[in-house]
Amino acid sequence: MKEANLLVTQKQEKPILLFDDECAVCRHIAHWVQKLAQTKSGDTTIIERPIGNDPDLLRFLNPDLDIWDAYATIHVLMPDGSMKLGGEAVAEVLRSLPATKWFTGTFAISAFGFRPFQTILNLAYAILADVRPLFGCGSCGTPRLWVRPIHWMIKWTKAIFGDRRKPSPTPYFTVLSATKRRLLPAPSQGLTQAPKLSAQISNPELTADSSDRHTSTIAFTKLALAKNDYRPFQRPQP
Amino acid sequence: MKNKTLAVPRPVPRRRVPSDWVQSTTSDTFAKLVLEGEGPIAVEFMSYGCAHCQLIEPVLQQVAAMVKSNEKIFRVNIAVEPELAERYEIQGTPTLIMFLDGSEVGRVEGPSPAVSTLLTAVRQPYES
Repeated sequence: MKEANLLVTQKQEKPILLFDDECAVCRHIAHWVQKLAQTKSGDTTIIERPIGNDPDLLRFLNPDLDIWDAYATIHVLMPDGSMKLGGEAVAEVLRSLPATKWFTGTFAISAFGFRPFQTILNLAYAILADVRPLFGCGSCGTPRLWVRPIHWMIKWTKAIFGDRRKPSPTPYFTVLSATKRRLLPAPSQGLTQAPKLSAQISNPELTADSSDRHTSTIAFTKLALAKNDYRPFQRPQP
Repeated sequence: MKNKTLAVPRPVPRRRVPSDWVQSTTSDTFAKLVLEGEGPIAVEFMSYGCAHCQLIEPVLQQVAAMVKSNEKIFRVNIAVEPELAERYEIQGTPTLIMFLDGSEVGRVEGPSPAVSTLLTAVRQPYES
Protein backbone atom coordinates (compact mmCIF):
# COMPACT_ATOMS: atom_id res chain seq x y z
CA MET A 1 0.00 0.00 0.00
CA LYS A 2 2.97 2.27 0.65
CA GLU A 3 4.05 1.86 -2.96
CA ALA A 4 0.51 2.50 -4.14
CA ASN A 5 0.35 5.74 -2.17
CA LEU A 6 3.68 6.80 -3.60
CA LEU A 7 2.43 6.10 -7.12
CA VAL A 8 -0.77 8.03 -6.56
CA THR A 9 1.17 11.04 -5.29
CA GLN A 10 3.36 10.85 -8.35
CA LYS A 11 0.39 10.35 -10.65
CA GLN A 12 -1.10 13.65 -9.62
CA GLU A 13 1.97 15.56 -10.70
CA LYS A 14 3.42 13.88 -13.76
CA PRO A 15 2.44 11.40 -16.42
CA ILE A 16 3.33 7.79 -15.65
CA LEU A 17 4.69 5.59 -18.42
CA LEU A 18 3.96 1.93 -17.76
CA PHE A 19 6.30 -0.47 -19.53
CA ASP A 20 6.72 -4.22 -19.82
CA ASP A 21 9.77 -5.05 -17.75
CA GLU A 22 9.98 -8.53 -19.27
CA CYS A 23 10.43 -7.16 -22.79
CA ALA A 24 13.98 -6.14 -23.64
CA VAL A 25 12.90 -3.59 -26.26
CA CYS A 26 10.46 -1.94 -23.86
CA ARG A 27 13.10 -1.85 -21.15
CA HIS A 28 15.59 -0.16 -23.45
CA ILE A 29 13.02 2.40 -24.57
CA ALA A 30 12.03 3.11 -20.97
CA HIS A 31 15.69 3.55 -20.08
CA TRP A 32 16.10 5.95 -23.02
CA VAL A 33 13.02 7.91 -21.90
CA GLN A 34 14.34 8.03 -18.36
CA LYS A 35 17.61 9.54 -19.56
CA LEU A 36 15.91 12.12 -21.76
CA ALA A 37 13.38 13.03 -19.09
CA GLN A 38 16.08 14.35 -16.77
CA THR A 39 16.00 18.10 -16.47
CA LYS A 40 18.96 20.29 -15.56
CA SER A 41 17.68 20.57 -12.01
CA GLY A 42 17.79 16.78 -11.70
CA ASP A 43 14.04 16.40 -11.80
CA THR A 44 12.20 14.21 -14.29
CA THR A 45 9.31 15.18 -16.53
CA ILE A 46 7.79 11.72 -16.74
CA ILE A 47 7.79 8.73 -14.43
CA GLU A 48 8.55 5.24 -15.74
CA ARG A 49 7.09 2.27 -13.94
CA PRO A 50 7.29 -1.41 -14.76
CA ILE A 51 3.79 -2.87 -15.01
CA GLY A 52 4.64 -5.49 -12.43
CA ASN A 53 2.45 -8.31 -11.25
CA ASP A 54 -0.15 -6.74 -9.06
CA PRO A 55 -3.49 -6.10 -10.81
CA ASP A 56 -4.88 -4.41 -7.69
CA LEU A 57 -2.05 -1.91 -7.57
CA LEU A 58 -2.74 -0.95 -11.19
CA ARG A 59 -6.47 -0.57 -10.49
CA PHE A 60 -5.50 1.61 -7.56
CA LEU A 61 -3.72 3.89 -10.01
CA ASN A 62 -6.66 3.95 -12.36
CA PRO A 63 -9.82 1.87 -11.81
CA ASP A 64 -10.11 1.25 -15.56
CA LEU A 65 -6.56 -0.01 -15.91
CA ASP A 66 -6.45 -3.74 -16.52
CA ILE A 67 -3.11 -5.49 -16.13
CA TRP A 68 -3.66 -7.58 -19.27
CA ASP A 69 -4.30 -4.41 -21.29
CA ALA A 70 -1.26 -2.80 -19.76
CA TYR A 71 0.93 -5.63 -21.03
CA ALA A 72 -0.76 -5.64 -24.45
CA THR A 73 -0.01 -2.03 -25.34
CA ILE A 74 1.85 1.01 -24.03
CA HIS A 75 -0.09 3.03 -21.45
CA VAL A 76 0.55 6.52 -20.16
CA LEU A 77 -1.46 7.61 -17.14
CA MET A 78 -2.10 11.33 -17.32
CA PRO A 79 -2.25 13.60 -14.27
CA ASP A 80 -5.89 14.43 -15.10
CA GLY A 81 -6.82 10.77 -14.60
CA SER A 82 -7.12 9.86 -18.27
CA MET A 83 -5.12 7.16 -20.02
CA LYS A 84 -3.34 7.31 -23.36
CA LEU A 85 -2.71 4.15 -25.29
CA GLY A 86 -0.54 3.10 -28.25
CA GLY A 87 0.55 5.90 -30.57
CA GLU A 88 -1.27 8.50 -28.46
CA ALA A 89 0.78 7.39 -25.46
CA VAL A 90 3.99 7.66 -27.47
CA ALA A 91 2.98 11.19 -28.45
CA GLU A 92 2.44 12.05 -24.79
CA VAL A 93 5.86 10.67 -23.88
CA LEU A 94 7.51 12.73 -26.62
CA ARG A 95 5.58 15.79 -25.45
CA SER A 96 6.91 15.39 -21.95
CA LEU A 97 10.56 15.05 -22.99
CA PRO A 98 12.49 18.33 -23.19
CA ALA A 99 14.52 17.10 -26.17
CA THR A 100 11.54 16.08 -28.30
CA LYS A 101 8.88 18.50 -27.14
CA TRP A 102 9.59 20.96 -30.00
CA PHE A 103 8.16 18.83 -32.80
CA THR A 104 5.22 17.27 -30.97
CA GLY A 105 2.92 20.08 -32.05
CA THR A 106 2.79 18.33 -35.41
CA PHE A 107 0.81 15.45 -33.87
CA ALA A 108 -2.09 17.81 -33.23
CA ILE A 109 -2.22 19.09 -36.83
CA SER A 110 -5.52 18.04 -38.24
CA ALA A 111 -7.02 18.29 -41.69
CA PHE A 112 -10.68 17.34 -42.08
CA GLY A 113 -10.50 15.40 -38.83
CA PHE A 114 -7.46 13.45 -40.01
CA ARG A 115 -4.19 13.86 -38.12
CA PRO A 116 -1.48 12.72 -40.55
CA PHE A 117 1.51 12.89 -38.20
CA GLN A 118 -0.34 11.18 -35.37
CA THR A 119 -1.41 8.47 -37.83
CA ILE A 120 2.21 7.95 -38.87
CA LEU A 121 3.18 7.69 -35.21
CA ASN A 122 0.38 5.18 -34.57
CA LEU A 123 1.60 3.11 -37.50
CA ALA A 124 5.21 3.31 -36.32
CA TYR A 125 4.16 2.13 -32.86
CA ALA A 126 2.12 -0.74 -34.34
CA ILE A 127 5.14 -1.87 -36.40
CA LEU A 128 7.45 -1.62 -33.39
CA ALA A 129 5.02 -3.62 -31.29
CA ASP A 130 4.88 -6.31 -33.98
CA VAL A 131 8.63 -6.65 -34.42
CA ARG A 132 9.43 -6.83 -30.69
CA PRO A 133 9.74 -10.65 -30.80
CA LEU A 134 12.60 -10.24 -33.28
CA PHE A 135 14.59 -8.42 -30.62
CA GLY A 136 14.25 -11.15 -28.04
CA CYS A 137 11.00 -10.24 -26.36
CA GLY A 138 10.09 -13.53 -24.71
CA SER A 139 6.82 -12.20 -23.37
CA CYS A 140 5.47 -10.90 -26.68
CA GLY A 141 4.07 -14.22 -27.84
CA THR A 142 3.85 -15.57 -31.36
CA PRO A 143 5.11 -13.08 -33.94
CA ARG A 144 2.54 -11.68 -36.34
CA LEU A 145 2.16 -13.34 -39.70
CA TRP A 146 4.16 -10.73 -41.60
CA VAL A 147 7.02 -10.92 -39.09
CA ARG A 148 7.26 -14.71 -39.07
CA PRO A 149 9.51 -15.11 -42.17
CA ILE A 150 12.02 -12.67 -40.65
CA HIS A 151 11.69 -14.45 -37.30
CA TRP A 152 12.43 -17.81 -38.95
CA MET A 153 15.40 -16.37 -40.83
CA ILE A 154 16.87 -15.08 -37.58
CA LYS A 155 16.26 -18.46 -35.94
CA TRP A 156 17.99 -20.31 -38.78
CA THR A 157 20.88 -17.88 -38.73
CA LYS A 158 21.26 -18.43 -35.01
CA ALA A 159 21.03 -22.19 -35.50
CA ILE A 160 23.85 -22.03 -38.05
CA PHE A 161 26.11 -19.52 -36.33
CA GLY A 162 25.13 -20.19 -32.74
CA ASP A 163 23.08 -18.25 -30.23
CA ARG A 164 24.97 -17.07 -27.19
CA ARG A 165 22.00 -15.55 -25.47
CA LYS A 166 21.02 -17.09 -22.15
CA PRO A 167 17.66 -18.81 -22.45
CA SER A 168 14.79 -17.59 -20.28
CA PRO A 169 14.41 -19.76 -17.13
CA THR A 170 10.68 -20.19 -17.73
CA PRO A 171 9.71 -19.98 -21.37
CA TYR A 172 6.29 -18.88 -22.47
CA PHE A 173 4.27 -21.27 -24.54
CA THR A 174 2.82 -19.99 -27.74
CA VAL A 175 -0.03 -21.27 -29.86
CA LEU A 176 2.51 -22.71 -32.27
CA SER A 177 4.47 -24.58 -29.62
CA ALA A 178 1.52 -25.76 -27.58
CA THR A 179 1.96 -29.49 -27.97
CA LYS A 180 3.33 -30.85 -24.74
CA ARG A 181 1.26 -32.76 -22.27
CA ARG A 182 2.34 -34.64 -19.21
CA LEU A 183 -0.12 -36.71 -17.31
CA LEU A 184 -0.30 -38.85 -14.28
CA PRO A 185 -2.38 -41.86 -13.47
CA ALA A 186 -5.77 -41.27 -11.90
CA PRO A 187 -5.83 -40.80 -8.11
CA SER A 188 -7.43 -44.19 -7.66
CA GLN A 189 -4.07 -45.71 -8.52
CA GLY A 190 -2.58 -44.69 -5.22
CA LEU A 191 -1.23 -41.16 -5.43
CA THR A 192 -1.58 -39.54 -2.05
CA GLN A 193 0.38 -36.32 -2.37
CA ALA A 194 1.61 -33.94 -5.00
CA PRO A 195 4.20 -36.09 -6.73
CA LYS A 196 7.39 -35.29 -8.55
CA LEU A 197 6.60 -35.35 -12.22
CA SER A 198 9.01 -37.40 -14.19
CA ALA A 199 7.10 -38.65 -17.17
CA GLN A 200 6.23 -37.21 -20.51
CA ILE A 201 4.27 -38.72 -23.32
CA SER A 202 6.76 -39.20 -26.08
CA ASN A 203 4.88 -41.35 -28.55
CA PRO A 204 4.90 -39.56 -31.90
CA GLU A 205 1.44 -40.99 -32.61
CA LEU A 206 0.15 -39.05 -29.64
CA THR A 207 1.80 -35.72 -30.22
CA ALA A 208 2.85 -35.32 -33.82
CA ASP A 209 -0.53 -35.01 -35.45
CA SER A 210 -1.45 -31.35 -35.18
CA SER A 211 -5.13 -32.06 -35.73
CA ASP A 212 -5.04 -34.26 -32.65
CA ARG A 213 -3.08 -31.83 -30.53
CA HIS A 214 -5.91 -30.87 -28.27
CA THR A 215 -7.62 -34.15 -27.65
CA SER A 216 -8.48 -34.95 -24.11
CA THR A 217 -5.86 -35.37 -21.46
CA ILE A 218 -7.43 -38.57 -20.21
CA ALA A 219 -7.36 -40.06 -23.67
CA PHE A 220 -3.66 -39.34 -23.77
CA THR A 221 -3.13 -40.89 -20.38
CA LYS A 222 -5.07 -44.04 -21.09
CA LEU A 223 -3.43 -44.56 -24.46
CA ALA A 224 0.04 -43.94 -23.12
CA LEU A 225 -0.52 -46.21 -20.14
CA ALA A 226 -1.98 -48.93 -22.36
CA LYS A 227 1.06 -48.76 -24.59
CA ASN A 228 3.34 -48.52 -21.57
CA ASP A 229 4.99 -45.63 -23.29
CA TYR A 230 6.06 -43.27 -20.57
CA ARG A 231 9.71 -42.45 -20.49
CA PRO A 232 11.62 -40.19 -18.13
CA PHE A 233 11.27 -36.57 -19.01
CA GLN A 234 14.52 -34.78 -19.72
CA ARG A 235 14.74 -31.05 -19.51
CA PRO A 236 15.73 -29.73 -22.94
CA GLN A 237 19.31 -28.52 -23.13
CA PRO A 238 19.65 -24.79 -23.82
CA MET B 1 -8.73 38.97 -24.83
CA LYS B 2 -7.39 36.17 -26.93
CA ASN B 3 -9.49 33.13 -27.54
CA LYS B 4 -7.83 30.12 -26.09
CA THR B 5 -8.45 26.72 -27.58
CA LEU B 6 -9.27 24.42 -24.76
CA ALA B 7 -7.55 21.09 -24.94
CA VAL B 8 -10.32 18.53 -24.67
CA PRO B 9 -9.00 15.18 -23.54
CA ARG B 10 -9.71 12.53 -26.15
CA PRO B 11 -11.99 9.80 -24.89
CA VAL B 12 -10.20 6.64 -23.95
CA PRO B 13 -12.04 3.40 -24.64
CA ARG B 14 -12.92 2.11 -21.20
CA ARG B 15 -12.97 -1.57 -20.60
CA ARG B 16 -15.03 -3.07 -17.88
CA VAL B 17 -13.11 -5.34 -15.62
CA PRO B 18 -14.73 -8.76 -16.12
CA SER B 19 -15.97 -10.85 -13.23
CA ASP B 20 -13.03 -12.76 -11.94
CA TRP B 21 -14.10 -16.40 -11.83
CA VAL B 22 -10.47 -17.42 -11.52
CA GLN B 23 -9.17 -16.58 -8.06
CA SER B 24 -5.52 -15.82 -7.48
CA THR B 25 -3.66 -17.88 -4.94
CA THR B 26 -0.22 -17.49 -3.41
CA SER B 27 2.15 -19.81 -1.62
CA ASP B 28 0.56 -18.71 1.67
CA THR B 29 -2.92 -19.80 0.62
CA PHE B 30 -2.04 -22.58 -1.84
CA ALA B 31 -2.07 -25.38 0.72
CA LYS B 32 -5.40 -24.32 2.21
CA LEU B 33 -7.20 -23.54 -1.03
CA VAL B 34 -5.77 -26.16 -3.35
CA LEU B 35 -4.13 -29.04 -1.50
CA GLU B 36 -6.71 -29.13 1.30
CA GLY B 37 -9.58 -27.96 -0.88
CA GLU B 38 -12.56 -30.17 -1.51
CA GLY B 39 -13.45 -31.51 -4.92
CA PRO B 40 -11.79 -30.95 -8.26
CA ILE B 41 -9.49 -27.95 -8.41
CA ALA B 42 -7.62 -26.69 -11.43
CA VAL B 43 -4.68 -24.31 -11.08
CA GLU B 44 -3.36 -22.16 -13.87
CA PHE B 45 0.31 -21.31 -13.54
CA MET B 46 0.68 -18.09 -15.47
CA SER B 47 2.41 -14.78 -15.76
CA TYR B 48 0.85 -11.46 -16.67
CA GLY B 49 3.65 -10.71 -19.09
CA CYS B 50 2.98 -13.87 -21.11
CA ALA B 51 1.12 -13.23 -24.35
CA HIS B 52 -0.31 -16.74 -24.52
CA CYS B 53 -1.65 -16.40 -20.97
CA GLN B 54 -3.40 -13.26 -22.16
CA LEU B 55 -5.05 -15.20 -24.97
CA ILE B 56 -6.11 -17.90 -22.55
CA GLU B 57 -7.48 -15.55 -19.89
CA PRO B 58 -10.93 -14.65 -21.30
CA VAL B 59 -11.49 -18.25 -22.35
CA LEU B 60 -10.50 -19.54 -18.94
CA GLN B 61 -12.87 -17.06 -17.32
CA GLN B 62 -15.67 -18.45 -19.49
CA VAL B 63 -14.75 -22.01 -18.63
CA ALA B 64 -14.48 -21.17 -14.92
CA ALA B 65 -17.98 -19.68 -15.05
CA MET B 66 -19.26 -22.83 -16.77
CA VAL B 67 -17.79 -25.27 -14.27
CA LYS B 68 -18.13 -23.14 -11.15
CA SER B 69 -20.79 -25.34 -9.60
CA ASN B 70 -18.53 -28.36 -9.26
CA GLU B 71 -15.00 -27.21 -9.86
CA LYS B 72 -12.78 -24.35 -8.75
CA ILE B 73 -10.10 -22.74 -10.85
CA PHE B 74 -7.21 -20.85 -9.29
CA ARG B 75 -4.37 -18.86 -10.74
CA VAL B 76 -0.75 -18.79 -9.59
CA ASN B 77 1.46 -16.03 -10.87
CA ILE B 78 4.85 -17.70 -11.23
CA ALA B 79 6.63 -14.34 -11.37
CA VAL B 80 5.52 -13.79 -7.79
CA GLU B 81 5.55 -17.43 -6.69
CA PRO B 82 8.69 -18.98 -8.19
CA GLU B 83 8.88 -21.60 -5.44
CA LEU B 84 5.46 -22.99 -6.38
CA ALA B 85 6.56 -23.10 -10.02
CA GLU B 86 9.69 -24.93 -8.94
CA ARG B 87 7.75 -27.38 -6.76
CA TYR B 88 5.42 -28.31 -9.61
CA GLU B 89 8.18 -28.24 -12.23
CA ILE B 90 6.51 -25.66 -14.42
CA GLN B 91 8.33 -25.63 -17.74
CA GLY B 92 6.44 -22.70 -19.22
CA THR B 93 3.31 -20.66 -18.97
CA PRO B 94 0.41 -21.16 -19.12
CA THR B 95 0.29 -24.58 -17.49
CA LEU B 96 -2.90 -26.01 -16.05
CA ILE B 97 -2.62 -28.57 -13.29
CA MET B 98 -5.67 -30.46 -12.11
CA PHE B 99 -5.79 -31.48 -8.45
CA LEU B 100 -8.05 -33.85 -6.62
CA ASP B 101 -7.72 -34.23 -2.85
CA GLY B 102 -4.36 -32.53 -2.97
CA SER B 103 -2.94 -34.79 -5.64
CA GLU B 104 -2.13 -33.87 -9.20
CA VAL B 105 -4.28 -35.87 -11.59
CA GLY B 106 -3.37 -34.20 -14.86
CA ARG B 107 -1.72 -31.27 -16.50
CA VAL B 108 -1.87 -29.43 -19.77
CA GLU B 109 0.92 -27.18 -20.93
CA GLY B 110 0.24 -24.33 -23.33
CA PRO B 111 -3.35 -25.26 -24.18
CA SER B 112 -5.05 -23.80 -27.21
CA PRO B 113 -7.19 -20.77 -26.31
CA ALA B 114 -10.49 -22.44 -27.16
CA VAL B 115 -13.39 -23.11 -24.81
CA SER B 116 -13.69 -26.76 -25.86
CA THR B 117 -10.00 -27.42 -25.26
CA LEU B 118 -9.93 -25.82 -21.84
CA LEU B 119 -13.22 -27.37 -20.83
CA THR B 120 -11.88 -30.79 -21.76
CA ALA B 121 -8.64 -30.07 -19.95
CA VAL B 122 -10.27 -29.09 -16.67
CA ARG B 123 -13.05 -31.69 -16.72
CA GLN B 124 -11.72 -34.92 -18.12
CA PRO B 125 -9.17 -35.79 -15.45
CA TYR B 126 -12.10 -36.10 -13.02
CA GLU B 127 -14.42 -38.07 -15.23
CA SER B 128 -12.71 -41.44 -15.02
